[in-house]
Amino acid sequence: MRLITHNMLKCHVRGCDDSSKNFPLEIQDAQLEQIEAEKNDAFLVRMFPRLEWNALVSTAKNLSINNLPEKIPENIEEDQALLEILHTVLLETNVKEGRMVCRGCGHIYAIKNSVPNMLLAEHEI
Amino acid sequence: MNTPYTSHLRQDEFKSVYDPSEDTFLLLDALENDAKYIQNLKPLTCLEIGTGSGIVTTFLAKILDTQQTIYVATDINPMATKSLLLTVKQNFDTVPIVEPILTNLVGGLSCKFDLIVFNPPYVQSESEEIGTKLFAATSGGIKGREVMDKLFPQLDTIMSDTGVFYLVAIQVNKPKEIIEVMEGYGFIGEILLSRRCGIELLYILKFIRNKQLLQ
Ligand SMILES: C[S@@+](CC[C@H](N)C(=O)[O-])C[C@H]1O[C@@H](n2cnc3c(N)ncnc32)[C@H](O)[C@@H]1O
Ligand SMILES: [Zn+2]
Repeated sequence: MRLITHNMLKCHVRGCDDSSKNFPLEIQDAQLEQIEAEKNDAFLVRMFPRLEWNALVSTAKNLSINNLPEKIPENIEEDQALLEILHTVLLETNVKEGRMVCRGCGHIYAIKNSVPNMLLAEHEI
Repeated sequence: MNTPYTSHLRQDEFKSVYDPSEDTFLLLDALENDAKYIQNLKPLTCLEIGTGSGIVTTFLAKILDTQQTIYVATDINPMATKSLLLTVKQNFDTVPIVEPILTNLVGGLSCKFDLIVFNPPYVQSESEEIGTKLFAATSGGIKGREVMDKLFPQLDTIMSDTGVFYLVAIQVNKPKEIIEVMEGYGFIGEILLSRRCGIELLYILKFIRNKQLLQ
């Protein structure tokens, strides 16, 4: 799971509806790997407005990635340095193994072989 | 356009993964017929539900032929998520951004998708067979509709305003009734393509948001 995908996932256990807690999921015990992705500024510039910036920054920090600006950046299409960073963080940083924990209900979602497991048991849906 | 390679499916470990079949190929044909529309849409985020071998997502990535899209694909079968990555790898020199997620339909996804595609388990069956190891790819319960019917009310929250949704169905699913149900959720639908295959009459339905018509 690349970090861009983590930015699209939230807890969906029944009743866990507090949006300040069910997103972002907290990544724990992560085994990270750098994968190579084609450089792709146009995609990042278009995708940028859809990102949950605060969630991205806090998640990155948790993984000791500290080079993202706290404040939502402006005019990123002109900021080559930031685009490089975003490329590396969003598209090239892959969580190979680990887990994601909901800060609301404590549910644990495993990540195995780079695939997040968002399946819930019948009684959790 | 060429059909993507999926030769790894012959290996024993992938025997639980749905082999691309007539329904799959009809869907690929429909997507190819609709290629201009899809290209003009310039989808940033694509979602395939129930990706199976991953052939549909791979084909979509071929149609779009750009790196300006992230492809998310779900399945409840772990081997499908594995197959997807292998299929993508086999068919591209420069691999697009493809992210498999193990989940039920769209469970846990919090973002909006510009293009959504689903070839669901649509065969009429006992409800008990739904989601079981042997029948997850095919059994759709009553009228074959039980799995897809669970998705329809969720589409509004995961489809972007200009999004499009492609769905495979067969005659027993009552495609016209599906279009009516979807109207109730704010979508308008059409039959994009249909084909007889043995005793089965297969359909590809296409939906956009109702309010898009007014623009
Ligand atoms: C008819 S097969 C289609 C596979 C592939 N997309 C194709 O067109 O060849 C249906 C797929 O949906 C998956 N599936 C069944 N129920 C599902 C669910 N509730 N959520 C996600 N995927 C599901 C099955 O595992 C299977 O891979
Ligand atoms: Zn939760």
